[in-house]
Amino acid sequence: MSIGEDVVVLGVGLHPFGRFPTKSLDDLAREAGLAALDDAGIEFNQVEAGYLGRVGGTGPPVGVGMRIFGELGQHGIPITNIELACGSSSRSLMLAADAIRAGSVETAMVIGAEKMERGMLRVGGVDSDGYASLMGLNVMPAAYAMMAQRHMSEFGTKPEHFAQVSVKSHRNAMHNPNAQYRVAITLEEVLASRMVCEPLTLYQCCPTSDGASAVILASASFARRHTNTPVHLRAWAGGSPVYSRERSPQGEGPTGLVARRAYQKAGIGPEDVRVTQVHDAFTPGEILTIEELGYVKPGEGGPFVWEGGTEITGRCPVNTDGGLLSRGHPMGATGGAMVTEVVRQLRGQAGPRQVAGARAGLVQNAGIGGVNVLIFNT
Amino acid sequence: MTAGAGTPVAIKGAAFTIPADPAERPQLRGSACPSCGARFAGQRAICLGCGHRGLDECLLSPLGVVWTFTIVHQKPPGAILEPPYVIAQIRLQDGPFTQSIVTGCSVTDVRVGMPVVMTLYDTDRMSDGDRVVAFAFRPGTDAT
Repeated sequence: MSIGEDVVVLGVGLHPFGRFPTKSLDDLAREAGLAALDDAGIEFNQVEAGYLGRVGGTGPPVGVGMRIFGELGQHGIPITNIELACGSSSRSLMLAADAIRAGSVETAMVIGAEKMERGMLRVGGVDSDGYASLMGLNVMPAAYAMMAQRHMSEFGTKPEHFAQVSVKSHRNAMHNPNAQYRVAITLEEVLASRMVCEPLTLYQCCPTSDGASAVILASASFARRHTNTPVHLRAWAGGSPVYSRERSPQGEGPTGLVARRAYQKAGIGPEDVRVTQVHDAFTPGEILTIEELGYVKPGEGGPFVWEGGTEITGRCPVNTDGGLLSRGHPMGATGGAMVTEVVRQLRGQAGPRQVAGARAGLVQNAGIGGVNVLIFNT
Repeated sequence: MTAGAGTPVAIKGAAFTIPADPAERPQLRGSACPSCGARFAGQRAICLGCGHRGLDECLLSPLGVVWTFTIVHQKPPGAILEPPYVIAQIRLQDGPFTQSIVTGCSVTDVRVGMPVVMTLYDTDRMSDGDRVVAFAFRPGTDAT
């Protein structure tokens, strides 16, 4: 154990995403945790720190991490609960990676878990008097729809461009046994589904989901004793909104700024990334984010998606496992699921959705303004 | 705004003026930085532009333009508005952004860049005998 060590993703595991009314949050989390331990080839008593990413909802809000990790074993390790809305488990991973790089621990485990109710998500934040709720202002699809409308106005992006994101994501999810929706849909079906917030139709909104993810990180020296083909967590960066007099405080956080920090730390550029998972809670998430990540110029995201640039066979494959739209979005579990997919891609274990020659991958996960970018390579 | 019994009072959670003279425009209450001049919708203690502590209360311009918008077609739980209705982010003439419903035109007429002016919106709700009023923006300019 030493300061500044490389961080390796030693194991990943998921409980499938979907609706599991007979299972508790603890059941989902335990199954994901055991899958990650098996994947890593270590026992829980070798884990030196535990981080739980979760937003809330069904079940008791306090002490959940202690309970969930306590089910896997009790050998006295520090357990920490992390909440960053839909970015909770990717932020947990960053803190775990910090602890390893600082030399505090050799291994750490992140579990992300959530059980959600059906229905339209409210925008988070302070609404103590219910004003925004009464006036119908704080609805999550409206926030993304307004990003889309601004993009359409500035760059001529078309509703069909956004709809195509959903077509692509559903096709990818057909090859993902952990996905919530494993059915192909056509562009016509996406556009003809019920309008929610223009230009976003129902099939351009991610579902609410139950699910869990688990990721085990280790120092490079620990990892060498357990794998000959490590996937490195090369760089990570987080951010929150940046005040501007000139632009509205919309969006899911300063992805462009955070990505530049992450590229600099990793010593690579956007052209080196071969597989990417982005936060597509709604279809504009993919089009706006690939611009902010530097894969295409501002305004080119819509045509790029339309022409297949983010398909598994395209220049920049995005959301190869179906993304939030089709894999599902149990909020606290999502970041860990994105990491799981990138790791499987970099290991060459993604089966029919494998991206050829994937050596570097990127995860962008966001939650109500907090945004995380993590870069992985082999 | 429709005439009705009771004194109009601002809906809880929003801060704006309700002029006694219907010919006068309502205005959002905001905060102004005495150091750099930045303005913000609602109450703030610290300037986001320069970090100055202690902002002055102010009334914001009732004029603005639509920065972006959407037409909401699905009724959110608890909302008093019936879809379809428009939510917009409005950039006020004196700088700050605010979010509001847009009334006074067909929902399909709203455009990015459209000039709008603040107006009152009757919620059809009563509170202790007072009429609860919210705010909205409608198409219009200084001259209308």
